[in-house]
Amino acid sequence: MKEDYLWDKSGETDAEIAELEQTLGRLRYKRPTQPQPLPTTSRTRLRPLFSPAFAIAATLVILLLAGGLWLGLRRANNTGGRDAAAVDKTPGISQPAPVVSGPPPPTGTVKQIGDNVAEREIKESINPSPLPRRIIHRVPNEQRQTLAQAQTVNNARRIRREEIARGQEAKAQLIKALLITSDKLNEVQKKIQGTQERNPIS
Amino acid sequence: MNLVTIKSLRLICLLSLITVVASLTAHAQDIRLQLNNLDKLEARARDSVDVTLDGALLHLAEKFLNIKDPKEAAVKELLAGLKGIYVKSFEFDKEGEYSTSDVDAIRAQLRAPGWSRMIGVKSKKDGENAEVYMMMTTGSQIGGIVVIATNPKQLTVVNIIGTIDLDKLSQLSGKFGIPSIELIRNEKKTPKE
Repeated sequence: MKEDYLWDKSGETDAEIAELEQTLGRLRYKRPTQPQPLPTTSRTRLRPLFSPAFAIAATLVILLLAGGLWLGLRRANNTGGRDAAAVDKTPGISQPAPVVSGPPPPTGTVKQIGDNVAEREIKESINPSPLPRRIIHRVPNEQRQTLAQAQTVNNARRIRREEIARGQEAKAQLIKALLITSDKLNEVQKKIQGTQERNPIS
Repeated sequence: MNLVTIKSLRLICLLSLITVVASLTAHAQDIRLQLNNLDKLEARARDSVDVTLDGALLHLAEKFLNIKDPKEAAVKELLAGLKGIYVKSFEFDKEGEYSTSDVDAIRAQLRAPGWSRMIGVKSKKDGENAEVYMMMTTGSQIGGIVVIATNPKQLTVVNIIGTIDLDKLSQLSGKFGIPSIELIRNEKKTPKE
């Protein structure tokens, strides 16, 4: 093999290399005379992403989502308002139980202090437990104020119930104490009179 | 009058006021007896009554009295001028559950100035004793009363502070369903006659 011919085609021609050249020469790259234009496939793929139609559609979708969200919030507020209104309509404002799950509390009128029936009714009245935080968050400010007032009334009623109980107990103790004293004084009186009858001073 | 004199006078007035208030408080404390030594008897007693009513509690009880009810109206009449009621009463199953020292501790407090023993009744037959002590205030008004009633199975101490009408008080038991002494006496006399 003539290595000079293999490298730069100088020197004596090597028949074996020349044959290989001829065989492979048909497959060699033919450089074009003018530069080829760049392919446009990628541009055509990206174009729909930024098209006006796509932008309009996206805007519509966003508007629809926003509208749906607003309607949902408004409905939730209305539900809370109705609940609060239901609380207001009940005879005692302090009856937030319909908002909370569970059976509705008994209703009744409050009578004068000292009336046993009134005290019993007060004792059987509403459970003054506060509303769950999640419900308070759901209702708007006006209803929230109403509920706060209802809770205040509840607290006032609870304090009143306690005061009635203490008062009744104090009254019972007072009567008992005075009766014991009266009884003992009568015993003393009886003994003195008995002594005088046994030993009359003439 | 210079500033030092004015300040001194103010200080003297303030100190006088404090002294008056303190003496009044001390007087009230003197009228109220210490009955804590009887607390130990509660565990041994079959029945016991412990009533402590003073100040706001007495006023609260008064508010709950119904004046339309004649019995409660009678109680309300008695409360005018009353400052405190303290009662300890014990009823025992057997004799000897309390000692004379328990009663003597109360009698010792009644030796304080102001108290005078108005009535003392002793019955050797059934062992029943009763004593009534009173504290008279200025103007011959009753400022306090103490009743000690004992028998072998019973001990009762009543301490009332304030002015009280004893006649009305003694009539009270008849109004609450307990027959008064006069009625009992009359009933006993009637069959003999």
